Parts: sequence; structure tokens; C-alpha cells
Amino acid sequence: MSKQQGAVIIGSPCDEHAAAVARAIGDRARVSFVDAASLASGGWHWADGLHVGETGARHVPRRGWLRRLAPPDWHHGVGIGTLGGVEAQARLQLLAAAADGLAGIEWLTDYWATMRAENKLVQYQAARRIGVPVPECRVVANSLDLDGLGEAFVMKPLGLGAYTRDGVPYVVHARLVERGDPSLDGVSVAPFIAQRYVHAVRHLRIPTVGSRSWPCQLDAAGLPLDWREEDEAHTSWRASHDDSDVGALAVRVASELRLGYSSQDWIVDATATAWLVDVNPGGQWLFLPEEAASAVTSALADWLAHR
Amino acid sequence: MAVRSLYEQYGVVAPGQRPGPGTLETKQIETVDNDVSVALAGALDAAHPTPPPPGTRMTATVETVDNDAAIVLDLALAAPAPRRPGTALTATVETSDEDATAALGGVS
Repeated sequence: MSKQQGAVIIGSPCDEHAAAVARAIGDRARVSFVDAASLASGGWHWADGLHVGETGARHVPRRGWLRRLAPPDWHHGVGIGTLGGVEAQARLQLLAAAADGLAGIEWLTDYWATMRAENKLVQYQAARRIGVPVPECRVVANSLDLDGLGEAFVMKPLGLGAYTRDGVPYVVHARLVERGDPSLDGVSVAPFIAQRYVHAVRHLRIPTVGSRSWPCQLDAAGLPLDWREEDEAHTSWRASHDDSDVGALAVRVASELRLGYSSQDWIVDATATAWLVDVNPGGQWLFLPEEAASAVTSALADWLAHR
Repeated sequence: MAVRSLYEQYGVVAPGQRPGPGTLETKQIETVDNDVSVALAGALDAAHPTPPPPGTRMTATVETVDNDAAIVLDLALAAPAPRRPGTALTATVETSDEDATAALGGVS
């Protein structure tokens, strides 16, 4: 294998998070971008590993960061088993091989760890394994099996929380549902997570890079169960240095899931207990306060540029 | 009626993606009470957070488990079927009037 140099980001330079990290790397390392959308443009080949760069200057990157396999919406409407589906799968297979932990590039988080950690049930199992509080959850085919979760519980997607139907994009937020609600007849159609309701006093968003974390908090008063429904909530976060203990737990969760980077959602109840509710292996951080956002960007850039 | 997944039932149009005034939309809402007009008004409100100008064509879907409501919406039912009390039915009512209640009155 030729001498390794530079860094590769699986993502798009049009993605503000990937672009911010590339800017922070500056001239410390040559940065290449590749994703499912850009593969057709060339600038790469596979020969016992991924080589990137223009013809004559191809090289194997030293380090890599898997931000996004494809731009949002890139695969919307592509049917499994169709020609488009087969072509899309081929692109993803290549990227998966490139981001495999044994492909010669050192990945912040490799493909398999990323995919594994995207699964909420896997996240919760991993967290419980190391003693991190996670609200009791069930996935059932019969709503009667939800008895015992309380008079009302949180319903949240096990799969993706966004889809397109008849050309219109939809989102599926977590919501509080009462036991016996007629909608629960639909639990058998496609698995959905039912989770014991924990009343949030504060929301925490905790990005982690390696052994470092930057807890940020949002007052839950007046917000919907899923704070993302409230536009204003996206800009109301503030750094929370008092939550360094929860930040340390977040680092342990990331480590258990073999995530070099994560963006985690926690809630803090009235007893000051912090509960893990979601782990995002490639989640966003730039909406957080500048202090935390720039620190995360720098940490990612430093890791990728490390010689 | 086919049971719908929670992804379908709980899905809402993504923020920033709501069609502009005059766009034909469908929004589903459920009711277990007798007053379909209230449910329809709610559905239209949800589909059109900003009331469109009078005369804008609007669509809302009302789901009811009430037998009387099914009769009220009989003209709008896409696939009439034998109905028993408690049967879940879906109907689409269209209105070109801001006043959904008045429009429903026309249907009944």
C-alpha cells in the first residue's frame, strides 16, 4: 500500500457540519470528500482499499470520518429490488467496505459501529450493560403487552423518523400516548418503541469526541415532549458545565458502542437523575452554543489531522 | 379498513415543507365523538395553520368510529361498506370555504 496521507470524510462538502470540520483542518491535512452522490464524479478507485484524489495523485487517506453515506433525501423513493435500488446498494457497499475497520484507514467510527449504534434497541442494551439509566421500553405486536408501562407512555420510531409520501416529506416525533389509545392498534404493522414516560425538567444534548464531552442543556418547561418540534428550542441551548458527570457517562456509552463521535440526548428528571434517550452516531452539533459547537468541530478536526 | 402503522398515523408534514395557500392537502384526524364538524374543523386547522383566503380549496380527512358520523359522511366515503357501530371509517370531505362547519353542513 502506498504511503497514507490526508483524511477522508464520507459526506458532502455541502453539508455544513462536514464543511466546518474541513475548514478547521485547514492546511494541516488534505481532505477528500466522498459519498453516494459524489461517487459518479470519480476521484477515487478501490484497489485493496479506498484510494482518493485525482488520477496520478491517488492516495490512501490516513484517517476517516463517516458523517453521512448519502445526502438527505438522496435515496428517497428508491425501491428495494429495482434498478435504482441495486445501483444505490452498490454505492453503499463500496462505502461500507471503505469504512470497514480493517480497510487500512483509521476511522473515528467505523461503518459497522455506526450502523449498530443507529439502532435504539442496541443503544439501550449497551447503556444498561454499563449501568446507565434508560427508561424501560418495549416493542410489541399487541398493544395489550404495553400494560405496565403506565397510563401514558412515550411512543417513538424504532426506524427512521422521516419519510416521503406522495412527494411530501413527513417527520415522526416522539409523543405521549395514553394506554388504550386507538392508534396503538397499529403497533403490529411496523415496530415502534414504547417507552416509560419520564418527566423532563431539563434536556441535555451531549456531543462526545473520544474521551471528551460537551454537555449542553435546554429548560424543558413549556416545550413539547420532543423538543425538536419547537423551532425556538433549537437556538435555546446553553453550555452546562455542571453536567460533567453526565458527560462522563455519555463518554462511557460512546465507548461501549465503539463510537469515536456521538451526539446524545438525555433528559434530567425532578430527582436530578439523568436518563439516556437517544444516541446519534452522526448527529448534529452546530445548533449548540458557540462554545460547545466550536470545541466539537475542533476536536473532530484535530483527530482527522493528527499525524 | 387496513390498520395503519404508527409511522403513518403519527407522521406530520415536515416543518418548512407545508404547501402554500391554494395547495390541495390531506390531513387526518381522529374523533370518537359525534361532532364530525368539530373534527373536520380541527383537521383543516392542522392542515392550514395559517387560514388560507376564502375560496381556497382545502381537504381534510376525518376518521371516526361513530356510526352516526359515518352516515353524515356517507356521500364522501371512498368505499362504502356494511357499517356496524364501532366500525372505523375514513372519509374525505372537501371544502372551498374557510368555514369547514358550513361546508360539512352542505354534505349532510
